[in-house]
Amino acid sequence: MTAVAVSAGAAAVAERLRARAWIPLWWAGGRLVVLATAAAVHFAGPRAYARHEERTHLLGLLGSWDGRWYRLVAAHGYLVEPGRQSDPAFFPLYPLLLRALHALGLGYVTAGLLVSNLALLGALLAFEPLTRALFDAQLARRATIYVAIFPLGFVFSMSYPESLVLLAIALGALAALRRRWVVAAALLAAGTLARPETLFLTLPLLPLALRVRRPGERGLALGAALAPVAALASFALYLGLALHDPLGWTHAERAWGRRFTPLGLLRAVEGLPRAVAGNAWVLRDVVFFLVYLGLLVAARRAGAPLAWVAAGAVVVVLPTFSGSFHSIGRFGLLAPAAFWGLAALGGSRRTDLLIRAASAALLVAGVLTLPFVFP
Amino acid sequence: MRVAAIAGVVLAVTLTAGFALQAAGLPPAARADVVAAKAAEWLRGYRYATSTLLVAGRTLHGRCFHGWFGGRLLRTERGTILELPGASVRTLPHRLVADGLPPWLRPEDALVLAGCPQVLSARLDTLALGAATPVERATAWGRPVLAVRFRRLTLLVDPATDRPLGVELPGARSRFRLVRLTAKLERRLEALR
Repeated sequence: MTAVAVSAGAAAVAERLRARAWIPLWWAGGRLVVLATAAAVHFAGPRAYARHEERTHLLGLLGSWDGRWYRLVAAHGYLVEPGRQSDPAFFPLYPLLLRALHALGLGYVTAGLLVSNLALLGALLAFEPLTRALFDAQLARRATIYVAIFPLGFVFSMSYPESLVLLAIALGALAALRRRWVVAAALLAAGTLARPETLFLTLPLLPLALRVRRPGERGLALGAALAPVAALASFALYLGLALHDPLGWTHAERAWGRRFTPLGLLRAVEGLPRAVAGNAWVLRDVVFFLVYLGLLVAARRAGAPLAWVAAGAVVVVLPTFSGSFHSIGRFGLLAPAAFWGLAALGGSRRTDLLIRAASAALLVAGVLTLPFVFP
Repeated sequence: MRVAAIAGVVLAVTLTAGFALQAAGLPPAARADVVAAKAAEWLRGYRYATSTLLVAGRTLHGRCFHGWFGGRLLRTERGTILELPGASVRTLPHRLVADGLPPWLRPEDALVLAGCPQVLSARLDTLALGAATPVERATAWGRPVLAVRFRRLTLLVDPATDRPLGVELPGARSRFRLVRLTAKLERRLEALR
């Protein structure tokens, strides 16, 4: 009897895996595009701002820009340099993982590529059932494919924590939907220690937690929904003890020209001509800013829960209150609702194919821009 | 009440675990990096330094100013100007102009030796990022100092405050003093050409 039950269970798992086999395939396809383009740039492309360390590695291009800062934290810990760009602006989970893999004998660049790309696979595997739980299987499939080949999705393969955060968000939300609150708390805390955007997941999870009736479970649920706040506090506590500056990460951000003010968005718009004159690539971020807003509207129209759309809007709009549009395109990757909006727009076969083709082409183009501009 | 207590426990555990993970997993910054970063911070608080350079057996006295110069009214150029006996070095946007400098003293070295605040702080900012070099107790000019030995540059700082006091380069050594600018002094320096 037991043998029959085990066999039935194994068959069910095997069937589930077969049914989801398309996810690793799309992941592999998307990553192949990114990695092959990065390798092509290594052999034949422009060097531009690439440093020696990044030129010597076949995929070193994907370890450039902020990847250097994460490697620096991993190798040497945090050091605040008041008034200058310094590493407390970069959250600790990703460098912690780099350091752990480095201890096993991997180079920091290789460790970063491994963590980011595997985390994306995990993120896609979690994002599909999360989306399915909120919409339907068709939309979930399209949204997952779009994440795998999104034009700015090359960041998911870089030494950046975005794929890790998307994994934490998708898996954490899924755990919360399945009422596994302790797992959700751990994942959301981990995600916040990788990037602060995870904090905004509190918005959709809080109503979920408040709907729980049993007092014991309700306490766990509230704890899970607010776990990102505690994780952020733990980073502040660490910076306070290590650098004597609990707000070191916000202070370090200022050296990148980011300073949050109530009129920051106005400042960002006013300063746009100057920003474009200094670095015209900021227009890419402005375009993505508008695209994300449009996608969030589309997601809402498709029936996405308001709290999820609001969380996405905060992820996209809040950074502009620092007075800059720079990197909004990358930040928006952490707004799942934007992908749901895109999937809603790709409902017809023709539009779906168009989005896929355009995404793949823009993904290649995005990697080609890396020697010149940070994402 | 029970709900709040359980939620509080979850938050407390998250806070503690998050902190423990960072404390156990991340290395503290190396002493040399911290000293260099603090010295750079000191330098950023000043725009004027006076110095004594010992190069190739000769002693030179210099003064270095960062700001506008070219005349109070004209204020044509902004950058760093180092004045040495019979010579000067100016850093302007994308340019380094040296006049009358002896052949045995490179302009970049002169600016660093003279403790020119902007130039030296920028150099230290770069060196501070993961240099992990040794810091030694030493004696210079009859007083105890900390010596941070980077490649090709040794920084001498006050052991109590990390205030930069001097620099050693291969074959050269200097001592400098960071001076707070007064309005009168600034007017005089702005008139430099």
